[in-house]
Amino acid sequence: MAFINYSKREIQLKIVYYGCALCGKTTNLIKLHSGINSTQKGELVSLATDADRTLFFDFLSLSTQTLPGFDTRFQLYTVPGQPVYNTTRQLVLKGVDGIVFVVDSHWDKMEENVESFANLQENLIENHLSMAQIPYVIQYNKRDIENPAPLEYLEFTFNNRATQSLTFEASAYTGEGVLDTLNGVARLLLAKYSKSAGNKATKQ
Amino acid sequence: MTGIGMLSVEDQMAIESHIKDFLVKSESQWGALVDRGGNLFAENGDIGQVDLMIMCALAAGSFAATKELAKRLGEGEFTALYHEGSNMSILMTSLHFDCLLITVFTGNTNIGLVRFYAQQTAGTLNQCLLSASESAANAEPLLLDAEYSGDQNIIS
Amino acid sequence: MASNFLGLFGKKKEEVLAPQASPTLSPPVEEAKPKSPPSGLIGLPQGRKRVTQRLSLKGLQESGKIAPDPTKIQLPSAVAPARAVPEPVEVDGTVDIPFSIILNSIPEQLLVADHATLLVHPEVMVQIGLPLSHVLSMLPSGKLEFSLSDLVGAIPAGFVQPLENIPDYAQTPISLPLAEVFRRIPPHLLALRSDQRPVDAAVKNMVDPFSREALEKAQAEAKEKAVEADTQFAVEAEPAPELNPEPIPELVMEESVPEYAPIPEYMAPSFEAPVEPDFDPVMLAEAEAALAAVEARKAGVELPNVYDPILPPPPAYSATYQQEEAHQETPISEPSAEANAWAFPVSGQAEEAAADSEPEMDPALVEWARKMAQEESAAQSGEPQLSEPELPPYGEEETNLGNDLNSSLAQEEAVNPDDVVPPPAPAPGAFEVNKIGMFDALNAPTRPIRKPKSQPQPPEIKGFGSFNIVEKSQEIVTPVPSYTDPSALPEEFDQATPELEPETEDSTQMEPVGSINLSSPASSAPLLSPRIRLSPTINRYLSLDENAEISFADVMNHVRRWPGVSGCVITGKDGLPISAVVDDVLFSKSLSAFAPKIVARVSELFVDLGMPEVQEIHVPMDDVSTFLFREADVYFILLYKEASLPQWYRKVIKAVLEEIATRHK
Repeated sequence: MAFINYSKREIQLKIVYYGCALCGKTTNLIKLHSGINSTQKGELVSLATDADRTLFFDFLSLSTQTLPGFDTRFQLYTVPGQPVYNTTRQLVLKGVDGIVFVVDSHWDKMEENVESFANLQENLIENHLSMAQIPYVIQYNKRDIENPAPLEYLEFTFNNRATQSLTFEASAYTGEGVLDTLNGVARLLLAKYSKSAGNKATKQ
Repeated sequence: MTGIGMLSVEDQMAIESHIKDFLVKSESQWGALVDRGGNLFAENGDIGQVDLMIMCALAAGSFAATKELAKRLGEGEFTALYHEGSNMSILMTSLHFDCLLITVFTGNTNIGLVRFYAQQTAGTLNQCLLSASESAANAEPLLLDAEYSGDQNIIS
Repeated sequence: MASNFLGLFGKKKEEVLAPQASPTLSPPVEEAKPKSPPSGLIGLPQGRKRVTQRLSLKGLQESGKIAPDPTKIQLPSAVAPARAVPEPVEVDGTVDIPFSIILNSIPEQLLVADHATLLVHPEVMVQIGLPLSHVLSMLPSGKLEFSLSDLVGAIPAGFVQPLENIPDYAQTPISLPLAEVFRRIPPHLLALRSDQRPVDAAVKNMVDPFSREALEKAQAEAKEKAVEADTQFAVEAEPAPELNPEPIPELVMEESVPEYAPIPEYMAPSFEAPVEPDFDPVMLAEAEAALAAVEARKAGVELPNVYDPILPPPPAYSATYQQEEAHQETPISEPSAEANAWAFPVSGQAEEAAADSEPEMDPALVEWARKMAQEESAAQSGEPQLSEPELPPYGEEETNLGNDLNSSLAQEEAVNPDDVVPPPAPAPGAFEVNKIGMFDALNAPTRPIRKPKSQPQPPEIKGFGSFNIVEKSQEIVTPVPSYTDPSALPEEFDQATPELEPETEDSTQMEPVGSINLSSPASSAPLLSPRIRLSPTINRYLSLDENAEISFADVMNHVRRWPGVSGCVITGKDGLPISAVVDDVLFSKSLSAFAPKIVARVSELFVDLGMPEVQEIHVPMDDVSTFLFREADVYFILLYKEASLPQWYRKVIKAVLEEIATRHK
C-alpha cells in the first residue's frame, strides 16, 4: 500500500516483479542496481539459494524526485518463481502497489507463463486485492533468444483483457528494456497522484 | 487494505516521540515503526550505517515468514518475534493496522526489559495508528502537478 | 483439451478423395469403419484428406506389415489431470499442420513402431486439419492439447495402436507444439479484442522518473563530486606549489600606531621584588621531616617518632563496634573526655598518649569481653552455634543496605540525649590526633550511639526448636556453612518444618515457561529441564520428598506459602521470568525485567568503590518489602510483608539459588 509521509515529504511505493521460475525477475533488479546511480539506489539484497534461485525475495530500493516537493521511493521486490514457494509469493505481495509481470519468451515456457499469471491473480485475491486495482505492466523478456514467441502471440495471450496494459520488450541479460519497464510501472503509479491524469480531488 | 496510507506531521512526531521514550526506558539502540509491506513509518535511535530500508524489508519479511509456523501451532500469527545475537538482538512486536514495532538492542539491556516496555509502547502506538488511520481516511488525496513531455493535451 | 470433435475436424469437401487403402503394405483391407467409441468419448469426425500416393517401403515389404511391438509396453500415465475446458471460439475453419508434427508429439509407446521408423513413411506429410475454434480457445492457456482418441480419428490409421488395446490411454492429452501451430494461424484471427480500453495518455506522456537524461545527469554530478573529493585530497596531501603572483601592494595605514608615551613617575607603579617569606623554623623543620618521612617510606625505611603525613590505617571497626556494644546498656552521663579518642592519631604518639593517660576500664566492657572470649573458645571447640543472627541494633529505621552511617547520623539530632552513650575509651594502642592538624577533618564530633530499642523477636516457628540468641555478637552475620554439605548444617534445619500458609486462590501463578513463544536460547533452557533435582537436604527444607524431582513451580509454590511471603519470582539474566507466584502478573513481569538491571547497576557502583559485586539487595517498604538475591545469572525475588527478612528464609533461598545456578549453568 502506498505510504505518504508528509513529515519527510516522501512517498513510498512497492513494486513486485512476478513471473514463472527463471524468467528473469532477479536479473532485472541486478541490471537496475548496476545501471542506476548510487545516490538514487540502496543495496540489492537477495535471499537466494546457493544456486542463485530466489528463496524468499530480492529487494532493491530506488528513489527519485518526479513529483514536485516529494521524494518518491520505489521498493522493488521479486518473488521466487518455483511453484512450491506459493506461500512466499503471497507474503511478498502484501502491500503491493504495482506489478511487473515478466514473461519468458521461450515457446516451451508459455504454459508456465500462463500459470504464473493465473497464480498472480489468485495470490492477489488472497491479499484482498485484484488485478483491476493494482496497476501492472508486462515485460516480454528474453527477446534475444533464437526463435522467441512472436509479439502477436504474447499480446494475444497476456494483453487481451478489458484494459490494455503497457508492454515492453526486454532482454534483462543485456539490460535492454529493463529501465523502460521500470519507468513504465513507475509512471503508472505516479499517475495516481497527478492532477493531469484525470484524478479528482474528492474524498476517498 | 488495513494499512496506513499516510502519516501527517503531527502523527509522525507523536510516534517518534513515543519510540524515543521507549528507547530510553528500555535502553535500546534503535526502534522503528514499519508496516508488513516493509514501509518505514518512523524511526528513532542510532543503528550505524545499516540501510534502514533493507532493515524494514527484512524485518517485515521475517515476520511474515513465520506466519505459517504460527498457523501450524494454532496461532493466527505470533505477536512477537525475538532474534538474539551475541551482541545485537532484535525484537519485533506486532501492532494493529498491519504494523510492526522493531527494536534493536545490545547486551547493555535485556530482553525482559525491552519486552516489558515494548508491550506498553505497543498499546500507545496502536492509539497513534488509529488516529493516523482516521486522519488518512478523511484526508484529501494527494494530487500534484507532475512533469509531462510532448503534447500534454492528449487525454483519452 | 477439446472434447467435441464430432464433425469439427474439417467438413467433408468435394475434393476429398475416396477412401483409399491404408498406407501399410499389409493386404488391402477395407477402410476401417469408425467404431463406436467407448462410453464417455466423443465420436470421431468423418472425412480427412488423404495422400493418394501409395507408399513402398522396402523394410516394411520384407516384414509384410507393421506389427505392434511385442515387447512389454511402458505407457505414460493414463489419466490426464482435470483441466478447465476452454470455451470454443466461434470461428470456422481449420489450421492444417503436417501429420509428422502430430506423430512426433505422440509417445512411442502408443505407436505401432518408433518414431524413426514411422517418420519415413510418406503419409506423414498428410496435412491434418485442427479445428480453429478449439485452437484459438486453447492459445491463451499456453498449450495445445488434444486427447489421443480425438487425434486417432483424424490421423491416418495404422500408426497408433488400436484403442481397444490401450483403452486407458484414450484420454491421454497429447500436447502439440505451440509454435508450429501458431505460425499457421491466420494473423487476422489474433487481433486483440475491440472493446479494450487503451492506456491512459497521461501515463504515456509523463516524464520518466528514471529517464536516461536524469540518470546521466545524476551520474555526471556524482562523478564531479568524486573528482572534487579526490582533488581536494590530493591538494591536502601534496605541498602547495609555489606561486609567483603579482606582488601585493604594501598596505599603508593612514594613521600609524602611535608609540606609547612614557608614564610619568608619579603614575608609575611601584613594583617591589617579591621577598621570601619568613617561615617558622619549627614548622619548616617539621615539614622537612615529613618530606623525609615520605621519602623514607618509599624507600621502605620506618622512621619512628616522625609525624607521618600519610594517613594511618583506619582503626579496627570491629574493635570499635565491640566497644559500642559494650556500652549499649550503660547509663549515659556526660560525654567522657576520651570522646576525642575517635580521631586518627599518628603512630608513635599514640603510645605516648596512652601511657600518659590511662583510661579507666569500664566494668561492663570487661564483662562483655569475658563473654566474647567464652564464646570464641566454645566455637573453637566445635559446639554448634545455634544463634539466630542478631538484628541490626539501629532500630526500625535501619536500612539494610550495609552500614548506612548517613541515616544513623541524620537521626542524631532526634536522639534523646539520655540515650546517647559516649564512645568507649580507646583500647591501648589507639591513635591520637595529630598535632599538626592535618587530620582536623578527621576529628569528627563524637558519634553518639543510641541505645537500641526493643529488639524484635524472631517469629515463632513451630517445630524449629528454641533459639539460643547470643545477646552480643561479634559479627553481624553468622558464619554461613556450606549448604551443599548437609553435615555442616545444624540439626534444627533438618527438623525444620515451618508452618506454611495455606494456599490461597488469590495467588496467580505465572504461565508456565513453555508458553513463552520466544526464540531466545536463554529462555529455552528451562524448557529443556522443567524439573530440577535439588539436593535432598534442600528438598527437606522445602518439606518435600527427598528424592522427588521438583519443578521451579514447586519451589515457588512452597516459598510462597512461607509466613509473610506475598510473592516470589525466579528469573534469568535476560529478564524473563522462569517461574513466579505473584498475585499481580504484570508486577511479576516487571520485577523480572528490572531485577537484573537493578543488581547490575548497584554492583557497578560497588565495584567502582573497590568492593565486591552485590549478591543481595533488600528494599524494605511499608507494605511489602522486596528482597533480591543473585547467584551467577539466576535471580530470586521475594516479596515479604516485613522490613527485615528472617535469616532462615534468606539462607534457604540462597541455598536453593546456589543449587539452581550450579546445576543449570
